[in-house]
Amino acid sequence: MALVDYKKDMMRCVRCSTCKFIPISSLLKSWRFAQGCPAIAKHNFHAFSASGKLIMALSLLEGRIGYSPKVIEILYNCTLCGMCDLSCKVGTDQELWEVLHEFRIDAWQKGEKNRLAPHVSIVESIKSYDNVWMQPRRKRTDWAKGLKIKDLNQEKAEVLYFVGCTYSLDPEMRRVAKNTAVLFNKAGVDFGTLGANEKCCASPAFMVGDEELFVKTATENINTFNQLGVKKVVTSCAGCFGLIKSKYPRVGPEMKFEVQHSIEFLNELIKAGKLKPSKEVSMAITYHDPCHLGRMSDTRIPSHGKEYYVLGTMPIKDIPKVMGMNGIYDPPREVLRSIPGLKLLEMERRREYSWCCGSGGGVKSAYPELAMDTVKERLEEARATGAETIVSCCPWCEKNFEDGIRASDSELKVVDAVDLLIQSVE
Amino acid sequence: MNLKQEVGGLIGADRVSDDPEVIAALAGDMSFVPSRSPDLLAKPKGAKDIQGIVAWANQANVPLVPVSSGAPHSRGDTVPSVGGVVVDLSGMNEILRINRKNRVAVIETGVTFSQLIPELKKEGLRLNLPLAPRANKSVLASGLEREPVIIPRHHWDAADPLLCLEVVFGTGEVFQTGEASGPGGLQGQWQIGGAQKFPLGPHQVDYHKLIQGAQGTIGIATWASIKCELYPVIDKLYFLSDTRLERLIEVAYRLIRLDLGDEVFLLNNFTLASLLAPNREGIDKLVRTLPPWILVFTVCGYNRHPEEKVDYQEKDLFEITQKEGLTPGQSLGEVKAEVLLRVIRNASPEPYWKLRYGGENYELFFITTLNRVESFIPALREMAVQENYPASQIGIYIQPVVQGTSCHLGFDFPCPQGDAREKARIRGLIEKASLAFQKQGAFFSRPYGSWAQMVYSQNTEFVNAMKRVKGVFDPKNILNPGKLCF
Amino acid sequence: MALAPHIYKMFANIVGSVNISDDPAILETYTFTWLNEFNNLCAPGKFLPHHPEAVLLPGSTEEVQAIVRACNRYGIKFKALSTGYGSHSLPGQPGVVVLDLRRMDRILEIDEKNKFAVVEPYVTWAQLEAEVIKRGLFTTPVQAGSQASVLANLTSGWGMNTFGNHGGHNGRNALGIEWVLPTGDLLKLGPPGEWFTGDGPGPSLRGVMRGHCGAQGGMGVFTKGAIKLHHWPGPPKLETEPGGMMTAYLLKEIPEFLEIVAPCFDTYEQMIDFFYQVGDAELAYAMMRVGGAEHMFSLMGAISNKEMYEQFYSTGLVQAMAEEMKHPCTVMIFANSRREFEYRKKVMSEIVKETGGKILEVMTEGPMKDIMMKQMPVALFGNCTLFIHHAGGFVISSGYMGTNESVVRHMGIPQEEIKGKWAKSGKILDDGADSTYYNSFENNAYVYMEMEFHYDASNPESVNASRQCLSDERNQRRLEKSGFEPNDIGLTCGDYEKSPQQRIMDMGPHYGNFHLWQERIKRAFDPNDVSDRSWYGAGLLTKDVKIK
Repeated sequence: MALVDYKKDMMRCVRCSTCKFIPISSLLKSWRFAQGCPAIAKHNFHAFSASGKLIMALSLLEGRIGYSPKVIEILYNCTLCGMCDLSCKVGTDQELWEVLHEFRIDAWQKGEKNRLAPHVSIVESIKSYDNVWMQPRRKRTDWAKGLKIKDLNQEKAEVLYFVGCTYSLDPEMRRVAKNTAVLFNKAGVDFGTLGANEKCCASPAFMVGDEELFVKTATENINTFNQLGVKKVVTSCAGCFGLIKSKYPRVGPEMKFEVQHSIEFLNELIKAGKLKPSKEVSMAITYHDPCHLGRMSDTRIPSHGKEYYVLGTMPIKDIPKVMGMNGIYDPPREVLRSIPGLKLLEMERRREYSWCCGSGGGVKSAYPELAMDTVKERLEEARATGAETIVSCCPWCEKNFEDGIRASDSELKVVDAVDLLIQSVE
Repeated sequence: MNLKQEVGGLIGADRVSDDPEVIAALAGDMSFVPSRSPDLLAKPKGAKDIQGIVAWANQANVPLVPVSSGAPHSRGDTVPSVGGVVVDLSGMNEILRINRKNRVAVIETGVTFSQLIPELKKEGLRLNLPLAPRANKSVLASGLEREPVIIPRHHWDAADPLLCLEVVFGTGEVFQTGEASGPGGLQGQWQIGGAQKFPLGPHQVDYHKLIQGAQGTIGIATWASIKCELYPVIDKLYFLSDTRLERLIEVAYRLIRLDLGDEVFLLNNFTLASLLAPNREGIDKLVRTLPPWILVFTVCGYNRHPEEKVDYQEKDLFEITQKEGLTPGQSLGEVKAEVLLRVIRNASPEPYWKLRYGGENYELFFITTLNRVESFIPALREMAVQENYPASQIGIYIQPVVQGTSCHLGFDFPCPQGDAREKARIRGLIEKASLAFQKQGAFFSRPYGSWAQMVYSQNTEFVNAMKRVKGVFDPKNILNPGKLCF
Repeated sequence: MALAPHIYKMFANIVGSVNISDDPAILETYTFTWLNEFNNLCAPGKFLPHHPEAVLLPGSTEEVQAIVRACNRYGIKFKALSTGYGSHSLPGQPGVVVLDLRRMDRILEIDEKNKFAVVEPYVTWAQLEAEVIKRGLFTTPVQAGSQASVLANLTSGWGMNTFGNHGGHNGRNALGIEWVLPTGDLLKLGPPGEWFTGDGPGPSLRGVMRGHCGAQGGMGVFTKGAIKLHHWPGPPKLETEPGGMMTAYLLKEIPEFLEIVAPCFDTYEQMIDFFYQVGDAELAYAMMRVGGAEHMFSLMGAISNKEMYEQFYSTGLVQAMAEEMKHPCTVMIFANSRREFEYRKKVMSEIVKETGGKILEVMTEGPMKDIMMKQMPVALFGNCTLFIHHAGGFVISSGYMGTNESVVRHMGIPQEEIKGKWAKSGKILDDGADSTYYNSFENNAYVYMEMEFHYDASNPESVNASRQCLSDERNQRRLEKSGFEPNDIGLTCGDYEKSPQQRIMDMGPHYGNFHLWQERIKRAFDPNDVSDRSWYGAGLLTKDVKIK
């Protein structure tokens, strides 16, 4: 695995600018919300687009430029939200996202991490504490106090509830985990957690390019989950979900469990009649598709440049073409629609072509201005629907929305879908 | 050697004249541009003659004033500003080709409307005509002048129906524009299926657009390809009248938007009467029977199921007129649709319809948009009253152009022949209104006579740029000096 | 050579320090683009040999003017680009500052009644389409894709487009234009403050604005422009849903009076006859011929090459259809009323029959029906460009404007021979297609035809073969042989033998020395030679030519 594997993809870039926008006119609803890529939307120089980064990577491989603070700034001023990849794949087999990611791995391995202090500190936290918040492991169970939850270190259950670092450890976010567990209990789900032994999914390590830590952690987690003998691993965190579902398969060990986001699971419970949302929750809401629950949750197997030709020069990449169409789009909407009184107003950019919240890819910690500009754009789009509340299923999105709302004096509120569901379930 | 001998030596002594009567007839026209005599009339036979004259004029520093239509001229563009040689192209009047398949005619500069219209009809074609043009008006010159044409949906660009040209620039070099550029010449290009239909280029300059509207100051055209349309198999003309313009304009917008109907234009009663009646008395009589405003449109069927085509169009557009509470008819009092249809499908019979009321006529016209037309008309009438000009004698013609993106708004002011006082009054009125309308957003896109000063004084950057163009194509200012901003 | 610090500072003062960069990493991304491998400066590589001096992101006309004036003062060359796409959008010589117009991206006005919109340089076709469709209007999106700049197509590059049969050629759809001349002076075409026309007063300076091929950065910077729009008979929103092979989306509902007819013809003569008849009857909203049957499959962008190969090629479907569909056409009927729709369908069917057209059952039933009616409209209206890059590279040969007969005579016949030879070599895509694209404008008043082929941009052998194929193609068609070439689109791509600019030099004398006329205009409008001339006329080749 190396950046050079993707040299052909770089050379085949045609610099058409499609990666900057929502692809094809028919999907667009307005001039205002046409942008697809947060990085180029903020920084404007072509280098910040996916195409620009492909060109830089090629240039680097050809020795025309070397790593520099500017290269790193450009490379990491990107939420890795994957929109560019979808836009390009509407018409091609090009790998964009994989190149951006491999570029980071290359930079990280070549010592450029020294320019990325905020990222290093998160990675160190994972290494030291198994979580991204530099919190003692024991604190992982604080959210569950008073709840009846199986400890899968001790006993068996059908479902592992993989809580995630933020829902376990962020005092403002713990309610989501708690609400989820309450609902599981109401529905009679046979589930449990790993308690203090839960380890970070390693998403931050993966995103910043620390491949070694990612592989190590992912392998350990897969082995742990397999050993538990659970049928399902359910998580409320879109970041964990996207990574485990979409990226863990590339690590190697067979995954003997199904991965679900809790909103999918809750939707199944509602459909099975095990949860009955009946209390009216009167509210006009809009739903934000988190990247890692949506387009980035489609399982992606990187090609690493492997291909063969047919018809003379038609390259065949022997991997499924993944455009993010199979993300988790309908379950959260179905859950929300099942709640009486909720009025769901859709934003223009939604589902697989949703606008990123701005928090991902290590941007929130290292480039807060990009995170802020990006979330403000999303809040503006939410506001344009007429909704009073923006709903999501991702702690990172929610936290960034909160920050954006505070910074822009917006009257919007942000909640997790589970917060609404629990209000409605008797 | 004198001028006559020099030019005669180039193109033949029988093709030049300095006969005082001939010269006098070229010295002025029916405009406010002051009369000034040329020194010579030259009638070249073709591009080579023209090249010779232009080369000579560059050396001798003699102005050339190209003219292609027959008299009477009315806009001052053919009146010499500083003497020189009038280059009369009316004798170059061969119809070089009519090509039904590609809907195009290639004509020399002197080909007139009365000459071309019947020839096209024989081939099942017609022109997108100006409104009943003068019979002796050059078709090519009309195109060069960007004269508005009456079928808006076939008017894709302001340049239409003029397509490709051969031109002798002021440098004396000959050039073919658009698709006509390149080897082979017309014959060679026709042989391999070419038809000079694509007007742009060659490469990164649209030469035809620089020659158009230039009043002969950039180059002298020798031939051009003209876009033609099919001649209808079934042809119906409808009137839609109202006391106010508002609803008629709404209908016109809809028709153009939906490509319904062929000819679409609006007239006031005076203009309609002028088109139809033979003389002043007839116009006065007829105008009293007509409603103030008339939208004229045609519905045509062609070779494929013409009845059905007409039928669906009629039904669709009647729905539109009904929405506005209006009913189209094929007569308007005593005026029958077929009579007007004949008028608008042909060149004007003599006398030219604009001259029938007074013997002379003066024009005020500009480009605006249909929805702004109404803001000009009351103002003009008010100014006419102030100037003691009878508002009821002002002809008004509203022609949507370039597929309805803008419209030509034209006012005609008939004037008794030879009445200098009335002419002065009209001049005052036109100049006053022009200034006021320019401030109001009217665009004098074809700045004849004193309009040139009026518009160019407001747009110095345009003038600077145009002078650069002039410097390329006519660096010695041989071609029609004193016009536009040159 | 970097900009002197005081010059850099001056530019930074104009645009703001965050909107200028001379960092090598940033500059590097303005040296690489599509077709660079056919630009003789780079070929067969992808990078230009020179960096721009700096990249500036002006945010307004005033800033553009200030930059251009400064360039004149200090003798610095400049080149503006908007969305970019192709070698012509980048500097073609050293010492150039790039003006990336990305920050100028507003739609300034949509005049619904008078059917035009006014846009800044970075408004894309998709953005404009999204807004005008709500108002019952439609655009004329360039085949370069919905992500491409509207204004660039009006002013700077060609003007061909998918809906030209009903909407016209974009070289002819420009109305009022605001233009910073190479001197920095601001020229507004048409009435001051108004956009409804760009012609006059007097001659139309649109004449020196673009011509057939667009100014390609050689005549200053276009900062605002009005485009003529045309009627949209469909609903105010085109609802789509995921699915299908073309763009990954399909129409939820087919608009009421929309039909796509796909007749195919055995001979070019029949096809031409069909185009003429449909043009006369004014039936089509869009009308084109897309390669051979098999070439149509290159529109299948949303599926992978693998799926495409397995579904269409290894099953023999393409080959079978190729036998049946020698000259396949795609015609869109889009009517305003039931009556009009029925009339048009009836006449269309009559013309197909009369001209010997066949509408294959396979196209009207089963999966192809869905493809044609639900997927094709999304591809056409949505105007995705990328599906042409299946092989990782796509190039067009000479492209011609003219009558149906002239372009087919010139291009259609030798096409299969040239393409076939190189396809057999295995170095360009052997899709079995003759790969001609053919599009009608203004009810078939004129047509555009080009040869396309696919190569692998990452493979120098394939690139070189493509360049040789272009040489063959041009030699086959060269003037001395055919005696005539219809209006060429401007030879954007160099071939193995000659650069685009050299070809223009060669052609000029056969075309009234247009290259020298352009040089005169260039010198008149750009006395300090600062607006990068590399893609204007014969580029640098006429720079020192003495002309009277």
